[in-house]
Amino acid sequence: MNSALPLNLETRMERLRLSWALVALGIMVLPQALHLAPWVIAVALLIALWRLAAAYRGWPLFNRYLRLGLGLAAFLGVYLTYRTLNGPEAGTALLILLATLKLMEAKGLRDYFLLLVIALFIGIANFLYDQTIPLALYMVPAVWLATAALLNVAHPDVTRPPMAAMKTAAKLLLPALPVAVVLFLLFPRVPGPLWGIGLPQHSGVTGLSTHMAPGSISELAASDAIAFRVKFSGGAPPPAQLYWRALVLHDYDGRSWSIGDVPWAGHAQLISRGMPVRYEVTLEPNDLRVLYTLDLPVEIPADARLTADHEVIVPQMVTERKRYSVVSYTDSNYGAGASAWMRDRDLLLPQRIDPHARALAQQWKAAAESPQQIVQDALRMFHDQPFSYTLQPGKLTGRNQIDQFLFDTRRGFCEHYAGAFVFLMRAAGVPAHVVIGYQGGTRNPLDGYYSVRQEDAHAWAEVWLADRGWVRVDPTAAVDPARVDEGLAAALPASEVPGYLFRAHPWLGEIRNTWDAANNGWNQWVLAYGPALQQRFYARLGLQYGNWLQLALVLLLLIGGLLALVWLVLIWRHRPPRSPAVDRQYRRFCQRLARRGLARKPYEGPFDYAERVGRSRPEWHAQVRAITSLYAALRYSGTGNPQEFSRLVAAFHP
Amino acid sequence: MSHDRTAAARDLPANALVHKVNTIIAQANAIILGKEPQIRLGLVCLITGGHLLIEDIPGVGKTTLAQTLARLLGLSYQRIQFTSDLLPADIIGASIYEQQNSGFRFHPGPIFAQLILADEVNRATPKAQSALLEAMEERQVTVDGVTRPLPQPFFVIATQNPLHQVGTFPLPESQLDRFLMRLELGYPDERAEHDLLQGRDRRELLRDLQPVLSAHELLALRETALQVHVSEALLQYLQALVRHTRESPRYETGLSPRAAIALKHAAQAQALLMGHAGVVPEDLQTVLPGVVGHRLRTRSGRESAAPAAVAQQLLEAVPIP
Repeated sequence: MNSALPLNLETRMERLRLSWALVALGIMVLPQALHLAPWVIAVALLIALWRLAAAYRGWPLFNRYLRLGLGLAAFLGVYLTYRTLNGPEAGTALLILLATLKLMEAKGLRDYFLLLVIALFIGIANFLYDQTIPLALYMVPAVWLATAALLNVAHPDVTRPPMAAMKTAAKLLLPALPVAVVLFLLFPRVPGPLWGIGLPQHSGVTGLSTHMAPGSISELAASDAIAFRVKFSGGAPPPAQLYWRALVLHDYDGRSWSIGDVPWAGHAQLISRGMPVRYEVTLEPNDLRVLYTLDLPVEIPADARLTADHEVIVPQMVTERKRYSVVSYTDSNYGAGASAWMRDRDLLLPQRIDPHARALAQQWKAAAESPQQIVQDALRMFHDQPFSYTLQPGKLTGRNQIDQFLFDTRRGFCEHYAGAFVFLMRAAGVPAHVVIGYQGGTRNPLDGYYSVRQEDAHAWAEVWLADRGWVRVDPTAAVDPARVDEGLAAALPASEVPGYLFRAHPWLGEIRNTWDAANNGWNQWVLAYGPALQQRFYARLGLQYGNWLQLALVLLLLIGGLLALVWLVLIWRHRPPRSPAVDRQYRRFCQRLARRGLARKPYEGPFDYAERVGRSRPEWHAQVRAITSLYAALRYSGTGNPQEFSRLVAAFHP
Repeated sequence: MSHDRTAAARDLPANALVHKVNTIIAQANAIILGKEPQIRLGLVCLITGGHLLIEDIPGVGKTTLAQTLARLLGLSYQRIQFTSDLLPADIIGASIYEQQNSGFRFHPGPIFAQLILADEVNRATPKAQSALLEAMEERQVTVDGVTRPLPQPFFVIATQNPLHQVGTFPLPESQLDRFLMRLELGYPDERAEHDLLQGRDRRELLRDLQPVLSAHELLALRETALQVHVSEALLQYLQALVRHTRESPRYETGLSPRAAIALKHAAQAQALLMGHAGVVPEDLQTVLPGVVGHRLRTRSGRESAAPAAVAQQLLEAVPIP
């Protein structure tokens, strides 16, 4: 219970400061609470609560030795947790712990200023973990509140309503905003992402991996996370041609397909027909060394290389959003002249499994005149027999999973069909492999970008035909052509469609489109605003990139101009009210005297002024006195004749 | 501010009363030489109905000024000399048991008069001081549960030695605020001092004084003063002054609304005495040092700047709108 005794001012002041410091620290730490080790947050919370109890219930504060001990323990604990005291995570954890310890000895304005500045710094550190729009939106009121906290901590009146400071803080921050924008746009950028300090921030990315097993792609169908976005320059190909190639899987172990051990180097000859497709991809982190391109890429980014399988490989794992331009031919084949050993590799199968499938393949091989016909046989089987395309295929068990799928369950997602098809082809002696990637994409009407989501993940097959090379065959299309032509939602039974809600309610879809376009714009223009974009922006403004003198002048002019604008607004708002005629005439009278070296001091009353004038120029005394008396009557007594005053002033020419 | 402003003067119904006040000023001027501005301000304070604090070193005529005003105003008058052993009962009075009546009877103290001269208030203990200051504020006293009103009008003229003198209890700020004005007398100038040394004893002169104004007339004057026109322009000026004290970092605390009201009323009384139909900035400027001098403290921390200097700084910082 708080006693009813009036608290002395000092105590109230310190409580107020403590509360505001806690509010600011809390709001700044909150977004990264989940990124830090749980014990850091727990300890910080405990110390903060203890400090509150000390302020309101008289608990003792930690003494110097305890503080020192806890401080050292914080260093040790952070070191043991992160194996370093450096780096963003260890650094912020340490900062948060030491800031809460600082609460234990904070006293007076200076200490609380320091704490609030630390809170603001922790706020900046939030962007190390997360650079999305929601966090940016969160930080706006957070910075506002922290600024208000700075004002409240410094304000001597403890009874002042806290919201008054919010208003003042807004007035202070708003003029700062355009200055921040100017600096953001024009201040020279260092290469590399603004916030990239190499955090392991994308562990647990959902997306493709380097192998494929039954279930691994249907799992992705549940995620509507963006895999990448595409902007076509010129027209976009029809949906059925939107095969986004990621990896080619060669090896089958009886259960899953993988890329295999032998590195595939070299370049396989490409035969292309039709027009090139030019586009720019903004790839979300995929934790792979692969860039996704439209089947088949011809011109790829400089830092990437093309494998013989026409995969686009980069030297570093993609852990940050990456933008690149590609030229592809959608109607093309490669590897017509592939060597025998390369083809033979794609004929390998594990021994002694799936006897029925092998038997079926042998049967086709015996009857067929060409490999094309074997391919057709397989596709016809998928089409004619009761195979169904579903997200819930049931689990395949045991040694002979292909047999189980082909002759028993007959329910599968694209990985089942691609896998079984390639198995059948190899068993029939037709070189074949699995390709994984994405198929399709939705155009956002708001910004014209195509979004390809994880749910668009797909697996298909390529078979080698002597005269054409590797040819794409999509067995899923044989089962359910709608998957390729109209997308996943059209192909699946209605109850299984992921993101069903968005499709059932167009307005929800519209919200999603808007949000998507906003995120994309944020990525393209804010987060990706590095030297390259900046250079373009400079060019558009007619500035030379790298001319520091010019830049300094432009910055000086712009920021100076903004400050001048603020100044003008302030002047305008504090302008004196329009004066009535009597005042104007009196001012004119004063100006005339001022030209004669007898300026009225701003604080000088009219009679005092008249007296002073009369002393130094007795010849004007009578006139000045008459004008002054009438002015005083008009202005201060509400009496007198304004016309007469006007006449008197007009007649006065010293 | 003694210049002629008859042009602004109007035929006030209270012209006769104002004339009497000018007589008072002239007579008082003959006794306390060279202190006309202070005498005028003292009268303005009394016409406004406020209490007056005169502060200066001993021997510059504080008591004489108070006595002169008391005599000329024709009010019932009591003088209380404050000492360190003064008790509240010595000021207010006490109920005393009377054998013949077999009961308590209230013996009123010296406070039951129209004009009280509280000499050297800061020599008494805070207990005695607060008895006086409470009476000043409430204009009534309560003894043994019975509340007794004080006479009308009721003025206190208190004198006080500067605080750094030995054996004094300085009045706290909240109590200083009860005084409408505080004046300083200061040393007389060369010529006044010469006349003073040559002339008769001041006390004898005092004895010869006759009341010029009655209590009734004083109350009428006060009413008249409240009628003096206060224009919007002047209110703006007054508010600008007050706002400046609140916003400028120079001052520890700004002027209170009570101080603002005091300023307005005092300026009205000053305008009345000057014969102005409405209050002009000069009226406000004249009364301002007396009204705000004891209410404003500069933040500089130095043993406070002279109140007159503080007031002058304030005036020069605020332009007349």
